Amino acid sequence: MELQQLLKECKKGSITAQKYLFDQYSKQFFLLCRRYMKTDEEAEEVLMTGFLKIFRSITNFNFINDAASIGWMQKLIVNECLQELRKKHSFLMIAEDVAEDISSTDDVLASMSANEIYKLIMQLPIGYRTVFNLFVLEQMTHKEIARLLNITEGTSKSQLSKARLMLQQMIEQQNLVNVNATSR
Amino acid sequence: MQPQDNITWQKIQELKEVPRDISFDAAKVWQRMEAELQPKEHKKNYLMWLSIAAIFLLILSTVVIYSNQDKKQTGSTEIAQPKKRGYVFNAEKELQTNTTLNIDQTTVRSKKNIKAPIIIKNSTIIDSIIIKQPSTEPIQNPVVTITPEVVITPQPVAAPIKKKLKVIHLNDLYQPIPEEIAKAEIKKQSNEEVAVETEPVITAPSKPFWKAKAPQKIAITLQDNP
Repeated sequence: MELQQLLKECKKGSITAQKYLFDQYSKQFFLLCRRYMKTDEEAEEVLMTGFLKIFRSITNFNFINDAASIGWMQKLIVNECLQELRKKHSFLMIAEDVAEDISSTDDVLASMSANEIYKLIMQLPIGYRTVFNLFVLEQMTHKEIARLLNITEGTSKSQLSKARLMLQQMIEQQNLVNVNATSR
Repeated sequence: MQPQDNITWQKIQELKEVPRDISFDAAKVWQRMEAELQPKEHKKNYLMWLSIAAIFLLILSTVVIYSNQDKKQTGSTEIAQPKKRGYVFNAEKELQTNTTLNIDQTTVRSKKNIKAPIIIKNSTIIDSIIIKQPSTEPIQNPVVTITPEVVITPQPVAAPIKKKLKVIHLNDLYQPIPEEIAKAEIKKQSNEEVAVETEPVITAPSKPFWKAKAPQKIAITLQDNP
């Protein structure tokens, strides 16, 4: 079934269509939730509330194309994650000095698998991870991030550079481990 | 955006399956979601029917209230209709039509000269209306039978007039009565005899004629139909 037809049926309140939409996008959105949340259970909880929000607000949604529809759903899920993070973890982000740009990890990153990169992101602290996710993976500007997290743009920039630095360190560490493993 | 950011973004977009060390039970999440979705519809239906019922009751109550008000207004207009100018009071007509008879808290409006019998079912009233319990049955055709109770005052019987006899001395019987006296006596006697021979006069009642008669007691009785 096409996404347009599926969303139309969901608008009418068809449980079957809702189930179909959930089955189709649950994994993708769970992975999104898991990038923000600390545990699997928290991610499941946020996924559930996010889908409920999608089904309730779908009556006001106008279909343009598939990408826009998926983007709309993703935005709702991300907002739900941020809301949950605000409840459970207060963002104590302090503006720090902007770290130096990292350029030496491009080749290493390209050689890494999606799973490995995903795991590395999950190891970042909440503050770094949230800004990194919003800037790199949701492709938001620092202004938008500052507004969403109620922080300054400078704080957002410094958090991002710190996240990059930490990721680089982790990648280098992993690369070293891999090199050592292959050399043996 | 830096080049490594693009690489990271591309790699994450490629990820479609959940990594092994992450547990995700889609079925369990759906079950919980379904439970959240289903009662909402029931609640919506319940609210819808509740609102329909409330609207229906509101309409019904307004209709009842308005109809009652109309009745009251029509009732009051009957009583308080203003007389038109040039209205001539026709006593016979109005008194005939609007006579009311109050019987123990129940008001029976009736016209005069009603001859239809009273129909009172399961009533113990036979010959009196003194019973205080108002009858639950409506009185449709009341008949009022009036039996005048005439009180006859006994007329005083006239006492017989004793004949006055002339007392004559014994010696007078033997003495010759002079002619003049004799004639006068004879005349007197003859007059008295005439008076004695007539019927005894019935004396009038002791009450003077100008005093009004005692009012006649009228007993009104209501009788059941045989």
